[in-house]
Amino acid sequence: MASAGSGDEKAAAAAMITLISSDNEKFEVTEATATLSQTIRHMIEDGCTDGGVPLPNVTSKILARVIEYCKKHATAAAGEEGSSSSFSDAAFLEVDRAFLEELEEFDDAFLEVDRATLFDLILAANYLDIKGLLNLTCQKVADSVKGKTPEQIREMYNIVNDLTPEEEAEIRRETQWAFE
Amino acid sequence: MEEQHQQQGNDDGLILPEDVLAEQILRRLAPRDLAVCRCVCAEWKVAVDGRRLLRADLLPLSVGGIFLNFEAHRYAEFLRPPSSCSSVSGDLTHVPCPDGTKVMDHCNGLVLLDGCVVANPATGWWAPLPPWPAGWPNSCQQVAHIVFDPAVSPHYSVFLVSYASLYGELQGDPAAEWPPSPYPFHVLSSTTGRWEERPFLRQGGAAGAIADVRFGGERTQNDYRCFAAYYSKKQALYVHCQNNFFLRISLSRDEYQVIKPPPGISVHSGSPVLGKSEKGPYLAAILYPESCFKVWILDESNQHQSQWVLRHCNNHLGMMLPPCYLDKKVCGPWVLEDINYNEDRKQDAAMGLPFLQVETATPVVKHKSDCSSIFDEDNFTLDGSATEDGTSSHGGSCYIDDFWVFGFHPYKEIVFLGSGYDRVVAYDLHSSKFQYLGNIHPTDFDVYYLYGPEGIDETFVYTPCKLEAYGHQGSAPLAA
Repeated sequence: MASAGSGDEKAAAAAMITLISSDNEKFEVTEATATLSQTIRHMIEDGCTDGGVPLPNVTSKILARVIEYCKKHATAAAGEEGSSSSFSDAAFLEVDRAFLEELEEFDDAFLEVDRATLFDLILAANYLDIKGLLNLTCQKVADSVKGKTPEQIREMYNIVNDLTPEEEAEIRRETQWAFE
Repeated sequence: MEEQHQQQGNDDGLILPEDVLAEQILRRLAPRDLAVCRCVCAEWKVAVDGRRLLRADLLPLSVGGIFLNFEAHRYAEFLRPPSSCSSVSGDLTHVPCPDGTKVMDHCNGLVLLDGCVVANPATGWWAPLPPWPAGWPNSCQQVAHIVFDPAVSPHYSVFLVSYASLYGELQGDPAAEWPPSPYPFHVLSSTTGRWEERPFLRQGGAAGAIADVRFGGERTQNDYRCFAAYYSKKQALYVHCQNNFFLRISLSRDEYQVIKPPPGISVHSGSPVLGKSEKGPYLAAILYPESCFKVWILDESNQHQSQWVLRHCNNHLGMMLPPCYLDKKVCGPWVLEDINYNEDRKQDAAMGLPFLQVETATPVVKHKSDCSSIFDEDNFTLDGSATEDGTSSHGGSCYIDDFWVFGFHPYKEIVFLGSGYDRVVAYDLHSSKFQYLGNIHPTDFDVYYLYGPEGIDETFVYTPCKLEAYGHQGSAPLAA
């Protein structure tokens, strides 16, 4: 917040940051896009982004998707910051709503990925500390678990059941109400 | 290569840091899903248990009392277990309803009050319902049913079922079938906070022509105690219609099915009592003059035609009540909160009337066992089919057979029965034995309600829920 004061917003928007994926691909992004990541924001604040930001935990494939998300949402965040002051313009609200709908559509389409990519996105969002992306991707996993049986969840996520039949029976018995 | 490796890694299982799994994914889940996730693998169990994500102690999994609507009263009365077992009071006098706070329905810890308010007695929370849809009398009586399962969602719904075509000779074509298809129910969802008319399509046959299943002018709506039961596993609401047919309303598919009454129960029979118990929907009736007690379970194995199957039959329900329970001054182990008496005296005091000092009863019959085993089989010790033998060998015991059904224990095959308007007992279907719960005669009822009606209308077995429901314009929970 402090670094992107409204006075030099233009300058901040123009400043570019280079992100370097684990497979050594370089991505040029605006500071506004990059600072959706709290991790990168702190690095910028500490002035250690000269020569690019190495992200050894994120592949180029995943980083490209993460940047796609951040670009879209950075625009949204800028809009929100601008509109947080009191305004009562109905037309402006209308535009706002249309934009939010568009953002929702973008998020839905963004989540149309295979399971492995979804988990890589979660890991990247967690590492880069991008709250919105972490919420979005984790909610998708949580939704996929809803109303399922333990067997279905294991199958869905290739999870090996390391509980003995006795242990599992005991755990079920503890919350019998959930299996009625 | 590295990219490939990482992808393979996540193909082999859900490889996420423990805090992401627990805080970002599992924390979003409802209690029932959390209980399921505990069984997936050891890591998931640790993630749920280590952070205490599943708070089963807040769920409505135990019986915390019985609500009783005395006809003469303004507020619902509440019979509660010993205070050492439950701290939840059924006092709803704080809810601002102009006509008092009789309980009209209960589902998993939420009650629907006659003033059309939804309330949670365990948290003090309440929320008014939006104005009723056009054409409905503004009363919840007998037609409104609440659906709530906090193990699955904090949202609730209220269903309105119209029986208008069953009353009076002039309404509707007597040859038309009942119930109609589609059957339009009004549904309030706490998600939207609005009433919505939803047409439900009938699967299978109708109950019959209106002429065959209606009452004409013979009985009024108020003669019936018709309850509903929500069975979360099937996402179905079972409604006892006023002509003793039953509707199985599927909430997920907007369909319903008609279920016939069991043999021996007709359109004009006194009302059997519907409720959810251990294995699903149950029905109980005491048929007089024989005091024949019958309990049926709904068999839903045939998807197209559910039917009632006899689960229990006691041809002569009766009990010898030991003399210590007979004194009206003796109460316990469960205790009536005397909400109406206390409220009336408060108002007397506010008007400067002298306070009529009465002895307040203290429980003298105590529970011998700990709270978690109140409804264990060995606490049912009184024989359930005793007959009056005319001898004096019972040392002053009294023979009781004036029973009527209050409702079911939702997780055990136990039925709560009233004996007249004085006592409540629990009856275990497995052993056919009774357990005495307490006296429900309100303090000085005969003094203050001398000329009033003495009956009890609705009774609801209450399961406290300490999780907050999600509602529109609700009041803040009261400070504990």
